[in-house]
Amino acid sequence: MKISLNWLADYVELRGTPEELAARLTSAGLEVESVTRLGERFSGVVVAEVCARRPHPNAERLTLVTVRDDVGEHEVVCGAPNVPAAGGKVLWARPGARLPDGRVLGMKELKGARSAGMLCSRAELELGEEVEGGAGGGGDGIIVLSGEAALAAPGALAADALGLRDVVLEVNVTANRADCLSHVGIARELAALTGAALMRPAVPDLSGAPPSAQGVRLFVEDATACPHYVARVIEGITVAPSPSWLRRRLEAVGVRPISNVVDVTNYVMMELGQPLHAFNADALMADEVRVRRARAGEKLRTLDGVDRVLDEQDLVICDEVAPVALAGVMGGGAGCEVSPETTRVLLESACFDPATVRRTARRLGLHSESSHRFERGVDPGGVDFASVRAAALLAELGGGSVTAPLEHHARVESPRTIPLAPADVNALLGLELDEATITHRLESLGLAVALSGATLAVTVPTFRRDLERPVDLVEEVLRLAIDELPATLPVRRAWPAPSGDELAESARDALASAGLCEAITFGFTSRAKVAALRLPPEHPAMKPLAVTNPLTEEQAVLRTSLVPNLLAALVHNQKFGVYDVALFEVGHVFLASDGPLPDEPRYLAFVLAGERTGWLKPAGAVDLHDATGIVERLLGSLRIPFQLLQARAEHGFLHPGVAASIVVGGVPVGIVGEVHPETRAQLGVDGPVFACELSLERLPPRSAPQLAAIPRFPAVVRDLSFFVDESVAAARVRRTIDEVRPAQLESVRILDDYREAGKVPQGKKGLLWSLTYRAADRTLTDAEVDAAHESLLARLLPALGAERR
Amino acid sequence: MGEPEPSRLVEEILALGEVFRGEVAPLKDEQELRAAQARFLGKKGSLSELMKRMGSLPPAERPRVGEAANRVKQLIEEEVARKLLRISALRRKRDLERLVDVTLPGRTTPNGHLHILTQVRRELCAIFAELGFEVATGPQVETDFHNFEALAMPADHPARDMQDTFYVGDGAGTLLRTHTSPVQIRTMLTRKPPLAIIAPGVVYRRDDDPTHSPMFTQLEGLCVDKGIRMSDLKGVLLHFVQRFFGPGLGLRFRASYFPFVEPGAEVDMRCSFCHGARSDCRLCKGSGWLEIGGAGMVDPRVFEQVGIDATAVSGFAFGMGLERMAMLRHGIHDIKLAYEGDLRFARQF
Ligand SMILES: [Zn+2]
Repeated sequence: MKISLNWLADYVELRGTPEELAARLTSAGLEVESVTRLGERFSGVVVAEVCARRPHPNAERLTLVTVRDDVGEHEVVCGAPNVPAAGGKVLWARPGARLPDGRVLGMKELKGARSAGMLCSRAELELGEEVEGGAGGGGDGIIVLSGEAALAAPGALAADALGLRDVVLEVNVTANRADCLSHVGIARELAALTGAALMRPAVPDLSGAPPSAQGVRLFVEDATACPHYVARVIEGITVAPSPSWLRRRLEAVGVRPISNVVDVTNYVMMELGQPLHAFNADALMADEVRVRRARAGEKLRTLDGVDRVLDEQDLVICDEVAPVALAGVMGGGAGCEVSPETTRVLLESACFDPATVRRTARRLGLHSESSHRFERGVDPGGVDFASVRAAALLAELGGGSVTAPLEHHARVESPRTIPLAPADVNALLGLELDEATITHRLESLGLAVALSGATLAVTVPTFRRDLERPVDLVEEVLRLAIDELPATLPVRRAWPAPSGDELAESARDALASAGLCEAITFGFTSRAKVAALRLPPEHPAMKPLAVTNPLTEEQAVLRTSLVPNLLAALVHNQKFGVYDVALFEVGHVFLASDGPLPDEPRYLAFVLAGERTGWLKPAGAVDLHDATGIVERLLGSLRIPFQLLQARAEHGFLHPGVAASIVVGGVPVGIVGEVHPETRAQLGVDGPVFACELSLERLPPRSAPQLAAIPRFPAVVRDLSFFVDESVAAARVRRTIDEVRPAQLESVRILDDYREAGKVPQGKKGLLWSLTYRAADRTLTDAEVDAAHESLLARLLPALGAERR
Repeated sequence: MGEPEPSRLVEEILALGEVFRGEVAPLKDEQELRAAQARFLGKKGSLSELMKRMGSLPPAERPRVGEAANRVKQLIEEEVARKLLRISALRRKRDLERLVDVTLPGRTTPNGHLHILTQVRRELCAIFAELGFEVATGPQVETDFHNFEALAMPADHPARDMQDTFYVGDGAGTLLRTHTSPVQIRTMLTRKPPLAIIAPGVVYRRDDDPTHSPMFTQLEGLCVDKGIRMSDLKGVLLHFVQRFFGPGLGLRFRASYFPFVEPGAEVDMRCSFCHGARSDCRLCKGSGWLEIGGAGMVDPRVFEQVGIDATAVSGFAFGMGLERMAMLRHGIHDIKLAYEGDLRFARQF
């Protein structure tokens, strides 16, 4: 909301610079977002008095004008047709003056006559409706000062003479402070903050006004939605442009002046915060004003020219026939609006239910200055005051006479009284304020404070509907001097329990130390990315939860896997020429559940593409074993034993021949493999990519590692080399060794897997294993080891169908 | 008749020493030296050949010949040892002539990087842990009750306008949480004071423009106990600011409005770049202050929603954006960079 300091000064003495005032308001909760100085868009333009004028000897349409400022007389050439006679006052841009378009004026030769600067028009100074003068000459005339401005002394700055100089504060008023959506409201805050007195606008006593000759009748059918309604008819009014002071103030706060009647309703709204509406009273059918809920399907053309279809929850103002306004939101534009011919105005000042106004404004997408205030709640105690203020201004500016009001008041708005114990204030804030300070601060905000025993009885006026409880008053006491709040530390009375996700954090550390970079991607994804997972339709990952109101298709559903967004990140990197990519993410996915909310298991995933880092040059393209190596690093550092098993076709987004299940304690916890070529194609991935995804929820709980005895006797190593069918997986060999292992076998390691034709029989592969034997209590003899090794071979090779080399 | 056989043999044996010395003089290699040694002293070497003739000598002469053989053997071995020392000295000298380009990059494995928001989150959790705050979590898909209603924002509350919401599924009332404050509610519903938690986590708002990401990260704090004061809130946040951004940085509260706290405040810290000393500072735009979050005392309405007796305890809550913390401290200008998985970004932290 824009606040004009010139205007504000009507209600409170402004102590301090605009910036200081802005800082005070901001610290008290009325954030000033900007301070703008008006009237500084041009400089060096002054008031000058015309001394003489004569035609230019060489140009028919030019006039030579002698003007006088505070220094002396100057000769100016002017092309406007409306140069006034001697004594008239104009605006003269001196040599050196700067105009709003950036032009800097100097001495100029015009058809043989020298001109010092120029006389200015409204257009040249980019002045709007707020300035009178310049009439005549079809709009291209110079400004001829009239009224108050003409009293300015020659040499006075134009901005001062025209009253253009003003400072506008843009104030961000929070939703709870409806009382500050006006100049008087902000003035009240400043008065409390600076100690200056608040001066409310004076209004005449209209209590003796006669009733309207043509009696208008008022019916309020829904008193809950409209607890207060005051209508005043002003008769014999002349609709005309507003005077410049009024136009200037409205323009300063961003409201376009229209006519005296409309301008006054806006002016009083900006002054007091009470939205007002003016109807052409003669257009009201059967001289009736009725406040009721709309009937379903009823139509109203609003002031913005749009035909609106109403429903039964909209509150409308009607005449006998049809709605003429959406209560508190916007007036109608089909006959009852004020026009230049209007002579009888019905002025509405009312209080409407915030939720009702909010609902209608939201449903119709109609956010107006009026609805903004009603939604936040207007002062029910100020409805009549605003009506009187506006009616008196209308009568003053439009020349009409005010008639007796039609009033509806569903209830008496009595001020609320809240008990407040000073000790509670200090206990909650950590301050030591005495009762007098607390009392003074509350009173400065317009609250009444009475002592009642050890507590204060604080009476809250109707304009502060946000103050309901003692704690609300504590905030008022605090915010007037919030910088006084000290910094202390809480005394903790509890031991903190263990917290944080240790497993996820360890996993992140392990993957980063394995050389991967962490990504954090959005919790939503697109349907196309989910489809690229290529899982069977009944798979939970293929049934993502939909976002009801997504911004884009890219964010249409919640992710069921981390892989699609990681692959998208890979594509993003490839787009920028980064092809060697190792990215991981640890985060939640969203799976439909039977409960009220979805399951959000923690997943871990990584993708790997491009070339393996070597020394000086890459060490070849990454392959599956780089990916499984990362799994080993990860689970190894988490001390979780696992197995890789050849996966079948169930992992839709992995290549069926290059996919492994990660099994921990017999439970599959995830998968690792090469991304399926179809998935790659659907997501636009360039080149082979390897991916892993596992569920952290399925990993076993971790326990502290226990020390095993450090071996004291030497080990003996025996190699084992054999040919076996290509289809026999390393994991099966390993498992078989475990099944037949002799007691002294300590560890087993595969050393080679070779398949070169010529070295290996058709359909077979060569495997080389290293077996380490050791006894805990003695040094094994060669003979003992040989016996153990041979007995192992004798059982292992037949079990695998292998042939010793 | 020439010299008697024994004397000739002794001479021939003793001559081997000189012959050996002459042969190995030019050698510069240990292997060649060992080969020469074998030619003279080996089983089939020159000395052995000469010694075969000893069998034909009278026994009395034999000791003389044996003595000569031992002498020459010793002589040759000494020569070998001496020569070996010189060869190895030479080898060491030659080795010192090597020159390696030490400026080539080292052979290493690539460095991985934790996301900057992970790093910042961990640091914040550690700072608040110093003050006894535990980490709490909650779901990202929330109910309207936890996200709004229990936080004193019933339907049609104007404050809901500030938090444009993504809804999930067709059932009304399921949404992507718009802030981490529902974790406060979940914590207070399941545990009783004294409580001190922080809740970092991603949140969602229906806002996607150059300065807004539809998903971002918040950190919520809550402390509820007997006698908790608003000054405690200021002290906790001051501790955080000075630990995270640097010692000596001040803090100020500005009154503000959040429906679930009363009194409520916006929290600013002194500009960490100019300390309020430069009117042309780009970071604080000359104001000298940087906004870091919102805070306040838990509103009694919230306590009522979660069944905590507001007359027995009080509490404070605060919330801040993790991205903002990272942006302020690390000069990140664009929040969107955080969520693209861009390695050019990730590798800088
Ligand atoms: Zn700064």
